[in-house]
Amino acid sequence: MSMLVEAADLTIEYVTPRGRVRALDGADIALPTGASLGLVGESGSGKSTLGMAMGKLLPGNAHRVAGNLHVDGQSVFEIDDDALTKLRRHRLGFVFQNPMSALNPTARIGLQVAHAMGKKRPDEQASALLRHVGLADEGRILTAYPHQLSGGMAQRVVVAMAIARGPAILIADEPTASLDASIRGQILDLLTSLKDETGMALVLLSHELAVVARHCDMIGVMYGGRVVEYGTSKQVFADPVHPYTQALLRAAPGRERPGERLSPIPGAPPVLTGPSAGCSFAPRCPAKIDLCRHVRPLPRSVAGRLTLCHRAEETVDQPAVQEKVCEP
Amino acid sequence: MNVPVIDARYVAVSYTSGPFWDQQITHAVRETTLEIAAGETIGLVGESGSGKTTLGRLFLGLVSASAGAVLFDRQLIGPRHRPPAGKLSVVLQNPEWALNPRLTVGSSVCEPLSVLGAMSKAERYAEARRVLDLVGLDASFVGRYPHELSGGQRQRVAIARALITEPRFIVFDEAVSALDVSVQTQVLNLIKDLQHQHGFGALFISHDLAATRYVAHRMAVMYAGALMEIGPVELFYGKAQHPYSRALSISIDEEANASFALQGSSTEVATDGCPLRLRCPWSIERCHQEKPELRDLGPGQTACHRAEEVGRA
Repeated sequence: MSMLVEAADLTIEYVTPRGRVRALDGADIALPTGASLGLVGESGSGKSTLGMAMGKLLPGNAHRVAGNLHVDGQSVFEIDDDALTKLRRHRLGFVFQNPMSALNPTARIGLQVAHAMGKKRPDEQASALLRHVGLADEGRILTAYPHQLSGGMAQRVVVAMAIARGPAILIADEPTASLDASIRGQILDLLTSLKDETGMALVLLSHELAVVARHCDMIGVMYGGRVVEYGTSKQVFADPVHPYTQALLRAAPGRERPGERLSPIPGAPPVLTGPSAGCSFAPRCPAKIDLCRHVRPLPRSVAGRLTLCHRAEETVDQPAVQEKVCEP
Repeated sequence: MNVPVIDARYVAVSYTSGPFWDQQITHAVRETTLEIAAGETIGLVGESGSGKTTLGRLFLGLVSASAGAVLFDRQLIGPRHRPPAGKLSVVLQNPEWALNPRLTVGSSVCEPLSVLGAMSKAERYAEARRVLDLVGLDASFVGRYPHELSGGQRQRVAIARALITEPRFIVFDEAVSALDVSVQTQVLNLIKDLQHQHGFGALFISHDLAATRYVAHRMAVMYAGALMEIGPVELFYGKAQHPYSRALSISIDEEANASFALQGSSTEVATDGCPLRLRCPWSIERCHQEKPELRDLGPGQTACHRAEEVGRA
């Protein structure tokens, strides 16, 4: 099967005045054509860096230290600017967190949508595109300015612009974080239905595992700049293998019974300045052994999914190790 | 009978805007009655613009009510009736903005005590070390600055600062929304434990139903400035009786009934009848003609004509 996105040992560092910060520490991911992938992680886990790297949309202080990233058969860090422009313009679509900052506040929606379609001014196709993303009142919206729209409507406009040229991959970075709870479902349903209709791949970056599990075929859980568990949503959400995924599912409110006490993960996520010596989750992991501190785990296939854990087989076979995870 | 810490009676807040010949009235909070007992947490959920922060500010005596009254410990509070110093506290969403970046953690935490007076500097710092210990930070944090701390540690400092005057009532306004999932639960557990030890009443405001129902004893759901439903937290783990409560639970419960999903956005508020009727998939003709009032339905109170049916769906 050909892979639309393939990252191998991708390592990216940001150079800051206070030294280097390693955002990706050898991330591996492979996304087949037409699939939807949810990248889940906390802030600083590297999910945005990985998502934005797919269009090489990283700030100037980002440097690729090692590894490679292929999107649509091309290595994004090695192709020339023309090829990169073509890739971004015709093969990729982006939806960002805040629709109000993604739209130009001084231009009417119609003009912005027309430009996204490669035209000079809005026409019947622009109206059709807006109807397609669920905006019924397209006549008014085409002549409106962004500030005249609600957050949910503006995000639909951004989605329309992202799919205007029929991209092969739509990358959405926390597309619902700035929206109200009742609108979030609408936008995510829109993204998944567009994906099913057009056959494009969807990459959804989010910090909410439960939401991603409902809307994506595949889940990649990120921690410390690496993808620590990668499999189908059902496998990862219902039956996680990596201790971090297990602990995250136990810690997050939402699945507990009334009055039940949740066990938080002790400590805080790491900020890497160089390669992690062993497993980056080891300091917080209840199942750690000496090996975890000194030897970097490599991706292995365990119970049908890829995971980065020295003890993955044991966590599958022995519920005792899983139980240990839930103790405070 | 126990006197509630906060007793709000038919309280409302409205703002006027625009020139005097064309005044627009915005109802931030419509007639709301709510009591909060000592040791009790009320979870207040709603979308942006639903008036939940305004209600929190009312309970702190920071905005004046355009109708009704808020009583703290049987005394009227408001901008003209200042509540007793140090008895009410607040923890805000973003600890980066709540803490002065130029003050050490120690001076930030004991600042409320210097406002109260009565204590020497040494006593204040001893007290600061004691509360920092309560929130799980050791004495070494006293000399550090906010930028040296992680988000979770900063929020612990903000909670310590809110706690140092031993308040009777604390408002947590989106207190965990800016934190990472794995750290959020640490802070939620801390809030629960501190309340158990100190018995303060609390209003926990958030848009996140999952986090709110985890810390709360009772839940209140707000839409367009009015309470839609209020009841024990168990109700919100199962089948709440208002369509809006059920719509909010779709995003967190796997088994939730997806037919409650709302149309449109929170800016669409009906001015007559039920404020939710334009967005509600359950609305009927009666919702247009008659505004539903909060009705007592056993477990909780719900403002919906079809509450019984909703509770069964």
